[in-house]
Amino acid sequence: MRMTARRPIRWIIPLFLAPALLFYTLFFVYPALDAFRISLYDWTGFGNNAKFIGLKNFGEALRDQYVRLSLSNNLLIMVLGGALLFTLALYFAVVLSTPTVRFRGLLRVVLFFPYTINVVGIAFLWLFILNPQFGLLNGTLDAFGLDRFTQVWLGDRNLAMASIIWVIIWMVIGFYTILLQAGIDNIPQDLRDAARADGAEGVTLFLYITLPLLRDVLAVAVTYWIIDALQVFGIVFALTHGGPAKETNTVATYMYSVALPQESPILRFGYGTSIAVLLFILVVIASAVYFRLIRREAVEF
Amino acid sequence: MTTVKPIAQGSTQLIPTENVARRTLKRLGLVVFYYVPGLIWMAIAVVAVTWLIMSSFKTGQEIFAGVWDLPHSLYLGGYIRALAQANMARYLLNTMTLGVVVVGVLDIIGAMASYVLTRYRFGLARPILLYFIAGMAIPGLLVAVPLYLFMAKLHLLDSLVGLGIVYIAVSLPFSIFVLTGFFRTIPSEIEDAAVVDGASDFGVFWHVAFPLAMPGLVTISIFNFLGVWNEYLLALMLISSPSQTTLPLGLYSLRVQQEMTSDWTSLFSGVVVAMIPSLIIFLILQRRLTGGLTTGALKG
Repeated sequence: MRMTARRPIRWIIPLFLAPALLFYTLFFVYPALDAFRISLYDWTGFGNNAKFIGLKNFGEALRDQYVRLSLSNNLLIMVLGGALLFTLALYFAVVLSTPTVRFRGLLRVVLFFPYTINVVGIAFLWLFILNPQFGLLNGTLDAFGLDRFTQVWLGDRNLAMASIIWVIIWMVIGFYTILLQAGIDNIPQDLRDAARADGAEGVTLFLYITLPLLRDVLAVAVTYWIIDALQVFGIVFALTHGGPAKETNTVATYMYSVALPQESPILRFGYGTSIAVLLFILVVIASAVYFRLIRREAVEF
Repeated sequence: MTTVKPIAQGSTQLIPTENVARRTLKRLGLVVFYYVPGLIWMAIAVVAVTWLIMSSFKTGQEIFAGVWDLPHSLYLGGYIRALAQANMARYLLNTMTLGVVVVGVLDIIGAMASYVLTRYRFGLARPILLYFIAGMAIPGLLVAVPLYLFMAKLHLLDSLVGLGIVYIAVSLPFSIFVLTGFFRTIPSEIEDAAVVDGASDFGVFWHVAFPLAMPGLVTISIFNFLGVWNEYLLALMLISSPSQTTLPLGLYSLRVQQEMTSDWTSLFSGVVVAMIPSLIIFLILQRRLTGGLTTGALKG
């Protein structure tokens, strides 16, 4: 920190802060606050037809069966998808940080590259693979005489949700693996060596040394996941568009279909925004509860 | 795994066959444990991408003929339709340009703000930093509709400029979070020396601090570029005409067209076109990318 007390005015301070503050306040903070106002209106968005209706939108949202269904889909992605994702990511992180394993660079590329492809591209790739008429998955099952396992993969809610969860995992696993791997690499080697000298190996080493010391990094990763899982939009929108029968909507895709429906001319900006506000409150509560649960002193090496 | 334990070896001599068998089995188990899931993952990626590229050269009928049948000839109709008629080339260019401009602006204004917030002592520094970082908790979904209305009022709806401004605003919290964390790790002695040598406040920033912050800037550039490359919800909200469309949106509109024309080939080609540039960039930058990722996500 430079000593600045002696010179009275530092023009650099306001000048350097102004652009960022301006962009951020005007185009992010203001709309975020405005959302709370808009959610109190019955509003189609144009002209002066906005009607103040208090908390009625929220009442409707809480009774809306599709809000509940969408939310349960988000929770399914968060819990079930999270359990699978973190099991796989932890495994791959351990493999990537084991010096004797070969081809680690290649594995890292294979795990990570979907993260750099755009969401719609990924969704469509899997739309092709899962297609019941010409899709790679059914076609391959057929070729191996396993045609009784072929499915209309996006045809009903359970299978479609399973497909969505798989595609999401495929897309983000590289990110979480590399995060966790960095955490493992940060654990001082002598700690693991000492444990090895005491006879700890393999699973024991992982459960009693690696995992506890990985706690903080894992907490960060899980926080990212909670926030991501509650906000899933692109994959679902492009893969199933919330279908069949609106049953695979997430809160985000449902909110979009309410606010700017493609099949009906009635825009419901107020109602859509109230759903977004509810989701925001849920994200805040979920992260707060999670932080309360995991709070303990940070692990210091 | 290959470390030789002298004590264990002593016992090997006693009952060699059983021990050799057990060791072989154990080694086999380890090989399976360490390599098989990775191999499966690799197989999925290679098979999926190969099949995608192969199918993009098939004609409409060929796609339905057999999953692993090779295309009869390199049919380029899909690519021609995707690039020329469906404007994929335009969307690609739009997104690249948008990404570069947004990243550039964020690097500069993000670095300026972070520099002042970490290097100067003033009462509001901490509250302002918290104000920026709080934005990381705001989901894009929450601002989607309000931004739509606000941009309409400013006549910035359906314009790449408007979308770019929004992307800059939305990416600032994370950028400043990472960059302030980064500035704190660089000692300020070099800057102090420059001050002693008579450099102005601004001179110190441009000639000393900004270049020193390069690794941090690389990190946020990667993140922000990927952000622009992938962002879908806000683009969907704010953009409607083809000339302003970004890649994810354009690809989606190709799908809408496909549903009417059943032209799967051009959709396959469109996905390949959308994938290839990022795949190439990724393969070139992969080390930096994954390294920068952990700097950004953990140490920031």
